[in-house]
Amino acid sequence: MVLDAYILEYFLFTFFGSFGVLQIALAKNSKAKVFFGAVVLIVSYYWFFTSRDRNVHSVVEGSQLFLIFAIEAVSAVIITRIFNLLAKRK
Amino acid sequence: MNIIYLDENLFLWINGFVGKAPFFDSVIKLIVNEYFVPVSLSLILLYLWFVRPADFAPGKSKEKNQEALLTAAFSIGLVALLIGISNQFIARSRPFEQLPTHLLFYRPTDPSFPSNAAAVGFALATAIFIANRRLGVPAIILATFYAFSRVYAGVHFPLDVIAGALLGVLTTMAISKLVGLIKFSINLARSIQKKLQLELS
Repeated sequence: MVLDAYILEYFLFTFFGSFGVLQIALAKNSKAKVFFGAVVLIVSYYWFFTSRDRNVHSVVEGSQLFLIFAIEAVSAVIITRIFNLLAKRK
Repeated sequence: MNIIYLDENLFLWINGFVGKAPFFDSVIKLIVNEYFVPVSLSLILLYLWFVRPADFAPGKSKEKNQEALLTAAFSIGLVALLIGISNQFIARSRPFEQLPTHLLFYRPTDPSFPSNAAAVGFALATAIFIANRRLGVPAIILATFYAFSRVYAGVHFPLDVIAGALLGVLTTMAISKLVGLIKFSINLARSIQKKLQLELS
């Protein structure tokens, strides 16, 4: 099955955006975490909106976009959880 | 002079500014697509789910923040359904199909009224506003600019986005009142999160 490039790019954009937001949300008093999260968030936006024209008809409809967002949000939570566990082990 | 005449003339006046300020046109092109504003507002909801209220809004409960995400999800589903039903009865043509239009977007093929984009934007922003006013005000401003961009870019009439915005706001307010359903979903989501050991703080 060939994954459409638009869907993959959207998935990556929202995954890294979510990952960045999670770092900021869970930063507590860590300015380094906030900075890291902000950088990941900004870079994901910059990459997605400069890599190609986004004002074109997408193969994915609105409700499907939200479903993809939900899937990648859960993925970002899982990855963040793994990172936190690895950080605690150190 | 009826409301449709006023609506069309207001559209022509707003859309007539395209090309006069290239930087503003570039900003509109960034905002008007289906990605920038919906994703940004969804990320705010994700933030509200996980942030500790003590870090952000002392005295507020995490439960209210988490309700916002599920309220938004249910609202968007209901909005999509209502617009789908509306499209069976009202099939208004897009501005570029009937008027000379400066288009900054691709040509959507679904009916113009009501604006799905405005409805979704305001549904998300209203959910954020109900949970947290500090984030809710900029969210509402972003949703308003998103709705405006759809008119400026030539894909909707002003009445389309006003109707869409009202639909989004009213649907979210109605959904937020269904507290029992939301709380059941939150408890279910929390128990799944706990069982999968996905707590991050």
